[in-house]
Amino acid sequence: MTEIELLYILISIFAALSAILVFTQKKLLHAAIALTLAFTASALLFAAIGQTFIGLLQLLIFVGGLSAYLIAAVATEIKGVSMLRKGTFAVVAVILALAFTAIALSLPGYTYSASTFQQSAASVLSTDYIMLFVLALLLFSTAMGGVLIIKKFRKLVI
Amino acid sequence: MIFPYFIELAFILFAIGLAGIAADRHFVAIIIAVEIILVASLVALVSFFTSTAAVSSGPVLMLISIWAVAATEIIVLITFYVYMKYNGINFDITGLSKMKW
Repeated sequence: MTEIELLYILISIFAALSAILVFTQKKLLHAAIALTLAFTASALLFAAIGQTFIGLLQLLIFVGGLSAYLIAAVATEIKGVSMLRKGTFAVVAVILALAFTAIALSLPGYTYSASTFQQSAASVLSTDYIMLFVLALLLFSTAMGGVLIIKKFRKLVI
Repeated sequence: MIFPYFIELAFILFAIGLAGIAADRHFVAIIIAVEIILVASLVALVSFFTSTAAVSSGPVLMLISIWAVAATEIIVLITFYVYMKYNGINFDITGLSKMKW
């Protein structure tokens, strides 16, 4: 096993564990954070296989936009809301994963080759448009700070 | 042999999402499970067109479609969540048998 294969396996384990964590949390906020971790793991995976542009978009759209929106929306839920039937979840997940493993192992293997379009897009984004990305990160940080401040003073306002 | 790793990860994520739909009764948890399935489809799609060197617009359009579906789903989830919460509707989907309130 090469180092790059080990990296793929580690990221895959991280993604699968994050996805399982979504359903084992008692609070919605924690489940949303676990979902964010799963999105981050998929973005890491895309970056690791050479699709940095798609990984970056995944990070910006899912982690930066949707997950922040979801967390801000469900953060008000403070009660325990878990309704998971743990036995059913474990049995169904294990059976399906084993079945799909058998299918995946029967597939032929291919090596990857990142397309020139993706590589050129990534190089342009990291040079010409780097200031736009820095601005986007600043806006995102400001928005998250605003959410935290609103959450802190929510009782005083409403 | 890189391609099977990603297909395997996509299958595992799909299995976890499907198990979440089958085992959870919370409305938000089920929608989040569908999000996990969409991530699985993203991983499968990206691994597929990474393994093929040819650049075509088809997979990229499908990728953008999946992103759009995921984004729409989150918006719908938050809309329903706020509506159900402030109208005192139970989040247990087994109790949601009415089409109208």
